[in-house]
Amino acid sequence: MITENEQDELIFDFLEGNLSHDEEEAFLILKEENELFNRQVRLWQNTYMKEPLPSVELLERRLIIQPGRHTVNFSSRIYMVLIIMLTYVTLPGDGVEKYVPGAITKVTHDNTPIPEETADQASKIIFDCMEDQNIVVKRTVQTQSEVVTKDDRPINQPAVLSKPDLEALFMTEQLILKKIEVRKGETPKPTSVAARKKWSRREMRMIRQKLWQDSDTRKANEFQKGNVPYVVPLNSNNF
Amino acid sequence: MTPRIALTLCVALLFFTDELQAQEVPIGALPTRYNGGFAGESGGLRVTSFSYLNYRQYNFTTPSSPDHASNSGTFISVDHFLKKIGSGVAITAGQEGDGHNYRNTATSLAISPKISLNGKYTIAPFADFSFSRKNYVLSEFTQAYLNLPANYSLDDFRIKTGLLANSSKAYAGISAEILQKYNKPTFDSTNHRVFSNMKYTLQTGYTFQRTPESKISFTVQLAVSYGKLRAEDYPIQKIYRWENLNLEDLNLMFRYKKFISGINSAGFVLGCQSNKFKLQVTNFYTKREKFGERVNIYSYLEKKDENRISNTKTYIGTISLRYIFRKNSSVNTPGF
Repeated sequence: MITENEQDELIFDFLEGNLSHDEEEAFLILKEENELFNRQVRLWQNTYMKEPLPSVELLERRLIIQPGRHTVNFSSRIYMVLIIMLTYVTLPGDGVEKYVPGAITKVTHDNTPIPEETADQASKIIFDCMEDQNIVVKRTVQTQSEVVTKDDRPINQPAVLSKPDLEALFMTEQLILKKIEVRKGETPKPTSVAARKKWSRREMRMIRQKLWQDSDTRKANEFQKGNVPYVVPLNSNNF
Repeated sequence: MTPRIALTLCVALLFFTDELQAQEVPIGALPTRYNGGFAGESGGLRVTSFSYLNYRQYNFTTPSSPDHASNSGTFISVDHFLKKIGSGVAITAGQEGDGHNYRNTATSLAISPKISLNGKYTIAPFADFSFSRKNYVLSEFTQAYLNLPANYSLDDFRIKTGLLANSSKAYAGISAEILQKYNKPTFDSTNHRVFSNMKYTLQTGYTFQRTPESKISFTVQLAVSYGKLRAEDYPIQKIYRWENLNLEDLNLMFRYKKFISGINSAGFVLGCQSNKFKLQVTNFYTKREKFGERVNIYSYLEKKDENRISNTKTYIGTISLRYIFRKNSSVNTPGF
């Protein structure tokens, strides 16, 4: 009966090829007869690599390991991708000016001044951005079958808004204004009703907190001045 | 009716006279009622008054018992903050009774030094000295059984102490009755107790208000007392006992501009309140009364006990006034 250490040495010698022919035959017979020994041999075999390690010269050629360095270097393709992403983020846009409330300069179409138009009962004014051009326009849409025109232009002909008109527009007609693009880096103002309500609740909460802080600070300042006679009264409006 | 039951009724009526007669005082009606730390709390001179009427119509009758009874009372409290001593002083006086069988005259003096923390909070310990004289006119039956004179008076002297902490929006205070002394032995054979069987009262309040200038506010105030008394030599111990935990008042008040409404221990509240002036009227009517205990609007929260319902119709009405003599400048009352 061999000991465990002797067993390990025997298996190691077998796997290394250090046994003679007769010893190998005896080893194989023992391996077939003893299931436990067979399992030990298989465990030893699993620890052996099937392929040899590549040489240092091969690794250097594949640029995986750089002599004298301890970090792994990325490939040039990855560098290019990173550079492109960084450029996209940092560089300015395509140079086309984005129109924001108040940023539009006065322009006209056909170099004629924009006449003042007012909506009448037969038509409805809708403000929109033209799909193919980044400008704010005002459309007059007829609401009745009878077509009403104010001037020589057809009623559906879009008219470009001037800056003062656009500012007045955002004071009153936000609900129907669409497709206004915002300059990069600016926080867009909420345009939907729900978003505006949420924004106003947050502002009101901050205002209320500020009011309480100011009230407490005012009372504390009065105390520091010596005008308060050691007493902080309960609010007599409530208690 | 057996003599034992008659004796029980007489003793109970005698000892519960001051309990039934003593009306539930809502929080704020008399500032130093539950906690003397409110003396001088307003920073100026404050005058409050409290009046009540308690009318009962009984459903059970005996040859000697009436079918109805009423009692009323009026109390006035004046408190002021004295800068020289840095303390608040409050004096409360009043009288209550039913007009012929019972009268109670009470006075109290509370002194409360004030300690302000950074102008935001006030800590106010206090000492409260109260004296009351209860005068009873006993029936012949009671005189014979209890061996007492027809006109029986009992002087009651008490000392309370405690602490109150408050800001402009909230307060919390605790008081303890450390001494109680009668001039005559009571039915439990003791005429004084010092640092024993003390009664503790916890009072707290908070106001919910969005901003200091809000027109709408909701104020919650709570007063709870705890006490116990051992009756050693008392012949009918089952009747005369302290309630261990008692809800003195739960005050829920809603304010819109100067109009207030809500509920407290005395009933449903309507009134008006401003920075200086406050008028509060309560009304409460019930057809049910637990025999031997004070009628309280919060009695409906307790489990109904059919054996103790006397079906007495009770009406309670109270009115309280408050006025603070305060300058309009912000010197004495910053922020108000």
